[in-house]
Amino acid sequence: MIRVAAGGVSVDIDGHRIVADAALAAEPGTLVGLIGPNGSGKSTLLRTVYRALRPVAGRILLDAEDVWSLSPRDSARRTAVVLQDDTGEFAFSVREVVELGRVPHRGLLDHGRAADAGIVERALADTGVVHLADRMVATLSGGERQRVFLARALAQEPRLLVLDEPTNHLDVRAQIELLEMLSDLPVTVVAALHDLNLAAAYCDRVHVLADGQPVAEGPADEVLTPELIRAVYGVDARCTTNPLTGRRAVHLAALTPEPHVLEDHP
Amino acid sequence: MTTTRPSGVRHGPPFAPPGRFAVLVAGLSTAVVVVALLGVSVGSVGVPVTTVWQVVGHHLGLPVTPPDPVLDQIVWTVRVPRVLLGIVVGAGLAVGGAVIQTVVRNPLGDPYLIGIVPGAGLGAVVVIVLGSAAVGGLGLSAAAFLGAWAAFGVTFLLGRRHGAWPPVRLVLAGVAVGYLVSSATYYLQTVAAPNQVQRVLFWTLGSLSGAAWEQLALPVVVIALGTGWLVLNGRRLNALAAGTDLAASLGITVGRLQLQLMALSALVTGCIVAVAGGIGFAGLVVPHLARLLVGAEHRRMLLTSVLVGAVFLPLADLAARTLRAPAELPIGVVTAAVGAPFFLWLLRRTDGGRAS
Repeated sequence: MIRVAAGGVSVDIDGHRIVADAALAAEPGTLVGLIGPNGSGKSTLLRTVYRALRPVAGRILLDAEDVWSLSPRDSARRTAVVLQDDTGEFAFSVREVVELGRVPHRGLLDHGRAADAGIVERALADTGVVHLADRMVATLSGGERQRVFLARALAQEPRLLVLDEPTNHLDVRAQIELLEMLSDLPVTVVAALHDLNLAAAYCDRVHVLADGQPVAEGPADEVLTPELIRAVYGVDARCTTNPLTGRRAVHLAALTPEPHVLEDHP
Repeated sequence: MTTTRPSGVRHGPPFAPPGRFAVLVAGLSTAVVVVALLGVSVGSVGVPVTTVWQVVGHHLGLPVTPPDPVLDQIVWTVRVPRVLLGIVVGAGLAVGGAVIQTVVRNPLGDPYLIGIVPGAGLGAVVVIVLGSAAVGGLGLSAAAFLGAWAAFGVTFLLGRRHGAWPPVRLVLAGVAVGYLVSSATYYLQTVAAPNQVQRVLFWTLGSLSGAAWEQLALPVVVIALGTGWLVLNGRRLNALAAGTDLAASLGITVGRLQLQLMALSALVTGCIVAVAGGIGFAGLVVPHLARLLVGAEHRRMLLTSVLVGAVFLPLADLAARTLRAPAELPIGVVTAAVGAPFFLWLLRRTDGGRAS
């Protein structure tokens, strides 16, 4: 587990500012959501955290260390990612994909097979994909595949897990199973999420981005208000309490030209 | 469930499990030896396999009856180096192609795609048509090697973006450079004398007919060292194949690894086209066949590619020598005639799979 504290992060791509002065904070062991419309810069901000894209300004601290002053390998030993469905073109088996998680822990000639095999087996078991180990990843369902990618990330033995819209293409059961699994993990988790209800139900705190700018930050119950959702997403929203979970539930509708009065806004 | 399940990958590659992979390696190694013996004994003058052993044994200093000098000449001076060159060229083209496919994450990747082969072609054609003096007295092989590296260098500079080589950009740059370089090659062909055109044609389609012992050492060393380095880095190649962002998150400096891999591919392919010309399709097809057999895991896939290439190319050369005997076909005619239908079959087989 590790504390994430990023501030003043700006990213330019081809002379355009994609992320401007964004912040991201996560206490050790918490699950923090990053929400915002498509193109708001969520993925870009996350890429700076797992060292795929260098920001032009700002610092991303893991405990007291700046991600970008660590070596690539040291960063990879702290932070693992689950990206949007990323099978690649080629036929890898589930076990081979999970073994990728061991790459930052091994040298060119140091194979360390025995210990690694144990870690890979445990990651397969923890994510419930042992029975798929010899299958080709391309033959799996979306939900199974996402578990495999999570297993790969766990085999990396990270202290921070970054997920970029991990619930895309998943059916509702797979979405809930994935988030249940994430909230039980003994690591800090930062996840970009599309589904506001999932964010409200599972995140300890959320950060909201719009047009690359930070808009709001705090506990989901406080941040996800009808006003914020309307301002950021341009849709009508009403918030209630989910009777099954006791967490905030968000109901959405097209924005009507003349906003009607909200009757039972809690 | 609405998942797509491409028919081709449902059961997994047949030789991926360790035990079966060992069987495959043993089988392919045997095939390399059998094809090599066949290649040495078949030709305009048939040489019995026992005589082949006799000649080879004699030259290795074994206590055998000295062979007939004419057969000795045919076997040791002409056919053995040719077969060995075939093995080396096949292995090298396969490795070069496999690496490019990983770097560009594109199944169409091969040394043509990043300008190497067209560049080598221009270098060779300049020497054939304008003479060595036009390139400062370089020989044909040296000019071809230089051309390969020049075209690769330009591709590589144009394909670069933000310190890395995004696959699509690299492919577009390579194709553009390839066409540009080829236009110069075609221009030179139009001004060439008829006998030069014949030489250019043979060079462009590739041939092992110029094989000689002294040409073998450099490609052998380069390809052996290159393949060894790649196998050692197999896990990092697996990571790169899974995506550039993912590779970065696994602690890989993506731009540097891409650079190393492309340079290696250019070096290996450059050495090959310099001695054997532009042999098409082997670099494209062999890695695909290897993936069908053992999956995409690079350590298995690269070793399999080496062995499949070392079987395929000497066989293609045997066909090129015997189909129209005593005349010889350029080997590229054979590799394309076998490779293109195979590729179409591959295309059909993966139809309905994941869009990529």
